[in-house]
Amino acid sequence: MPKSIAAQAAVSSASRPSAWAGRLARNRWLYLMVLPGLLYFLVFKYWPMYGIFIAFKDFQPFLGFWDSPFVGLKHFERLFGDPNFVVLFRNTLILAAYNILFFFPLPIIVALMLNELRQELTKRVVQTLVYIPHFMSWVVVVGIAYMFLTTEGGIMNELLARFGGEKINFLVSNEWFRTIVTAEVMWKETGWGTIIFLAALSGVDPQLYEAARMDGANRLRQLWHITLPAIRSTIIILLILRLGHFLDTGFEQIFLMLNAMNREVGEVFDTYVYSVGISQGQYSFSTAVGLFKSIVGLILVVVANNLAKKFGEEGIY
Amino acid sequence: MNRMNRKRRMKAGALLAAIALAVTACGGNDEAAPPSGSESGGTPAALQLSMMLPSYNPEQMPADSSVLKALEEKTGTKLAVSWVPSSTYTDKLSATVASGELPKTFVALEPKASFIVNAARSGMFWEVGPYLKNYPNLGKMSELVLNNISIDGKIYGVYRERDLARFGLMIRQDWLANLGLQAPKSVDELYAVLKAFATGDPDKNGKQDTIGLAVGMQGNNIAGFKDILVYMGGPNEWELKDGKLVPAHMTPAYLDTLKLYKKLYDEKIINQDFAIVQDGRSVMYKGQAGLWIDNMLDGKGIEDNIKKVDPNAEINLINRIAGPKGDRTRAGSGYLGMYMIPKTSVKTEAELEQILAYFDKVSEKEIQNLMKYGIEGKQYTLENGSYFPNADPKIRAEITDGNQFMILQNQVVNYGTELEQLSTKLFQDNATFAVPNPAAPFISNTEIEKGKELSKIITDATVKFIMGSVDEAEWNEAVEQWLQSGGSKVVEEMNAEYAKLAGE
Repeated sequence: MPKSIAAQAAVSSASRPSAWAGRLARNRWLYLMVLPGLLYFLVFKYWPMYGIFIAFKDFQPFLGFWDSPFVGLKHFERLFGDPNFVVLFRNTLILAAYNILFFFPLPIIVALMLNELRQELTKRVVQTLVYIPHFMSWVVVVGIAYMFLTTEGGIMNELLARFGGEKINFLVSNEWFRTIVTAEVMWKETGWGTIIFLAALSGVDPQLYEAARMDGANRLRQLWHITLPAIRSTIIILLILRLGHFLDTGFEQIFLMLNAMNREVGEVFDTYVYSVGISQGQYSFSTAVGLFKSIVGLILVVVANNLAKKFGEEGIY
Repeated sequence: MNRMNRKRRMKAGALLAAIALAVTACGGNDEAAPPSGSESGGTPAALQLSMMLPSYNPEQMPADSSVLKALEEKTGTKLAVSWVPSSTYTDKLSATVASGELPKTFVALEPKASFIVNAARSGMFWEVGPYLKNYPNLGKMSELVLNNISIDGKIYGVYRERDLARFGLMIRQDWLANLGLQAPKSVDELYAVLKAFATGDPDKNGKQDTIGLAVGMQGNNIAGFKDILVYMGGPNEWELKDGKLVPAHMTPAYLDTLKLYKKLYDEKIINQDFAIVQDGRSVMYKGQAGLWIDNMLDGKGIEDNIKKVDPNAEINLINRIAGPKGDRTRAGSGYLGMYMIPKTSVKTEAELEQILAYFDKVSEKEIQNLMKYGIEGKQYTLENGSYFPNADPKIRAEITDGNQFMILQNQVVNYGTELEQLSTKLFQDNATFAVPNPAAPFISNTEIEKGKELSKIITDATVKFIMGSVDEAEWNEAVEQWLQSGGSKVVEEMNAEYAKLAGE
């Protein structure tokens, strides 16, 4: 068996150029149809990547892209040498971990619960209601959170006070910051996240459930042995994709929640890039930070994908 | 077969052509940048002037405003104004500078912001200094202020003149009357009045729902802090001591002010959520606070806003609060931003001169008053010399942020309501005892690179001290951290600049 594969490989590599050309000629219309998509990625995704070169330059808008002086790894040295770096990295990692631990499973659970609903109408209504928050901007969501949590007449604190508790200054504390941020994400995005799982669930063959019922499986058993395995690959693919954005904590939300009292735990790469890059006009340095973030994301995706394959899952490539 | 092949070939050709078209269309975008209307050559047509300005009002001046039309007519210029809310103005400007696609002129609210200084050093803006003397009005600009806006000794813009010292107290006069109190004249009296405002039920509704001083984070500055610091004998940003410049937060007066704020916070005399309030005026507007410290020009707007919830509200202005060093107040810089002209959009000297001529025209007496009050008979009427503003909101809207166009303000007639006239008088009084920032003309390269991060260390520690989450020892650690993260270099560079100037 191994021998024959090797032989085949030898053959195909020997006759490769002509075989390749032959295949190209045979499928030329298919290739032509792929061309617009390829061009799209080349022109709009790959070509703009030349912009990351400014991470190695001292970019001055007036001098332009090419004439700005080349400085090598200066900006990376500054980033890694900065005492802020450790803090930023830690804050970003912890928030990202909270996100994966507490937020990621939630849409799956909600989707499973929705899937168990019998009445189609109820299901539709609930589904629509839970994903409405997705369409609100972060400004609105954070505004709502502020109104709930402020010490000056916020509902939470009024309730605490009524039941004899001490008022808690949620919005200006290190302890509550991560909890509130993660809770906001849950409220806003859970419903939206269920859509893709519900789609996967609708693809499950009803005969499997019927057969299971015949065998006397109750609902929990059906869930465990049919539903979950059916959407396992979806879950894994989404998890891998999510890891690619591991360090993207979301700029708007964090920026709006930040203040002097929680900056120690709240400042993340995204907000740092904004304050250094935009407010202070250090375009090159902030590009370097962004590039670092992307590289971490890339590494995570590759590692996760290989792990997934090792465990017999499909992976994303 | 043959025919079919040809047909296929035609289809492929059409597809390719379509793709080629799409690709060239994208490529073309890059080159579609040449600025329209940069008429080179001597005979100038009507000047087309695009500009970016900050707006300080929720609603913008309408594009068909009669005031704007009058300005265009009188200056012979076609204006295209894009307004950006002042709170995000500097960030938006930074992004616009980075893109390189700037309007022909714009206001830089912070002329010493790092991206402005860097861009100026790379030659992005016209150096207008040598031209100013050719214009009757611009030639009269103050040397002192020009020095303050200079970057490496060069003048890259036309500053917008403002009164030198505009800060003071805006106090609820009706609350003072309700409590039978006198207006405070010293820091101690100020504390007593604030305490009474917070505890004495000044709005007479039988509930303890008022505070003394409204505080917010005005662009990362704690409202009123810099002013009270100066009242307490502290410096305006930098102190000149024994021939050396010392940053404000390293002076003993700063610690005293910190402790005063902490006391105000602990005794619930300031709003407990100040660290997350973007604009402390909102607390005033609700009629819950008795005092606001900032530019006294705000007095009128604050009174109008409180009147919506409490028709009896009355604001009074106070500018003299005596501390250990007598009456002191914080001097501003004498300007509010400057108009800069980028070389990327204004290519020729002829066009530059045209734009400067427009600025010169705007500084004529007639236009100064036009942009301040609007058109007589429309936005206001004069009867026997007294001024009556038009109450129609639609007509008033036409003068919204009109003062953003103003360059010099030396010939503005003092009309206005009682409060507005009082503020003008107090501005003049303020100028006689205002404390300037001795480091205003200097630039430190470390500050350009790291200024925002550094000032965050101090602001954060200040807020934490007031809210009681750090003590004095930890505050000193924060100052130490500031020094180590680059603060000591800032001090060094500032002093080097100062020594250079003193040596001359």
